[in-house]
Amino acid sequence: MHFTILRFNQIDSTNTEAVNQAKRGAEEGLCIVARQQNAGRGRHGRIWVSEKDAGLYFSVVLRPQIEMRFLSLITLMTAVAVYETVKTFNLNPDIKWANDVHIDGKKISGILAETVETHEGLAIVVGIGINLKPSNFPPEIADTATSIESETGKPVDIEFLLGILTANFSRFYEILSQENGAENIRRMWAERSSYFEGKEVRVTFENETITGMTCGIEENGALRVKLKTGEVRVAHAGDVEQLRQIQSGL
Amino acid sequence: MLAKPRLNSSKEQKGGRMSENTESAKVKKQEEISKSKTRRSGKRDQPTEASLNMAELRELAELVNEHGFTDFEFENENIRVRLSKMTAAPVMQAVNPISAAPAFAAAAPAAQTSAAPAASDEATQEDDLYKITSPIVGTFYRSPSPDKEPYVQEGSKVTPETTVCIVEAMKLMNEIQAETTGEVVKIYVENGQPVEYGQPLFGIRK
Repeated sequence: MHFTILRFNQIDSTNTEAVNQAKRGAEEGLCIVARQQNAGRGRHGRIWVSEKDAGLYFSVVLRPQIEMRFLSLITLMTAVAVYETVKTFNLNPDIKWANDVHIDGKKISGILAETVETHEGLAIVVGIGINLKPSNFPPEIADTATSIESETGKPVDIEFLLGILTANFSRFYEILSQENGAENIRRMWAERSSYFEGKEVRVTFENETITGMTCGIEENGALRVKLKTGEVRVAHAGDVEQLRQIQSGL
Repeated sequence: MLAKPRLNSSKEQKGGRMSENTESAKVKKQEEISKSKTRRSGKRDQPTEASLNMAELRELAELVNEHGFTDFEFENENIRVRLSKMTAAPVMQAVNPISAAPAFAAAAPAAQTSAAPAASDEATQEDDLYKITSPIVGTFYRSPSPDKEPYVQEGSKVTPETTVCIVEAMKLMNEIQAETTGEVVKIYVENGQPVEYGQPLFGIRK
């Protein structure tokens, strides 16, 4: 995969810019990187705090040739790439379903992807935010967020991080695009996420909240949650919170 | 929600036109109901009865009520009947609008009520709607975020590029475009509900 990186000192949102570039015909691999976002976006209109140089704000344009039913695995694949990137800093990450990367239960990275209809066909923009410095989040979310610098005690060279991230992204995207790619990415995700099975969770949907035990993922990456009644529910969206760790009895 | 109709054992397997005799028509209607378990099959070559008169609707409602259903839905190639206590209004629509009207007129002139032609017109319109369907399995959202206005409402005019909703799957936000020009007349799914591949989301009158 070939990357072309467009850099901005300041931008509303790297995802919005990447979407616009895709509509104008940008090829796969076009990346938008900004030092600061004025309107960084999270899921469902939430704000991604994006102070200057306090995080990596990155979006990439993809033109995937994979089956539509596996398209959503791109976000799980991205989580695997970010997991490996964070691990390079001698940290011990976890993937919280579907694609947040955590260190000891604190969020260090978030991913948001969106589809774009273009004249050249369907494109996908994948946005990745990685917290580099603790100044990147306000005190009220300090308990649930962390940064590479907070964890390692050392400042991060953003170009070094970007190099590792793009290399990992390319590696796992190629795996997903190959034969049996969906299966391989699901397995790789499962190996890296404590949420894959045996985790007691609360899932908040738009109109409902459920609690239960995670029991694997569907072929498209949706989380299976077994309720106390034995019924298995499938989550495609929604906020997942860990209730308590279930000992695996090792 | 789809209540499998088990109203009567079928003694006669011929689905007939509506009889002029109300009692007989009722029995045949029940037989027709009991026969059909299939969803819309796409067959459009059976010019059988395609409407109910008010008396029959009332009978059907009473029967459904007796069995304690809050919702009853029946559909075959020619007709779809839905009774719901939530809306308290029987909704009737012909699946086969072309053959429906003549069949009704020829078979049951005496039973015709003023409500029936209106229902039939509505049914014709419903059947002609362009359906925007979900391209993936996911969760349906009508607005970009909970505090924002929906992308479209009933009555909104759309063009092919108009975004009508988002279907989210694993934080992949799929913006769905109308892909046609027209007016939104039906919204089939509630905000935040899961949707299947190919499930109709909106009905557009071109």
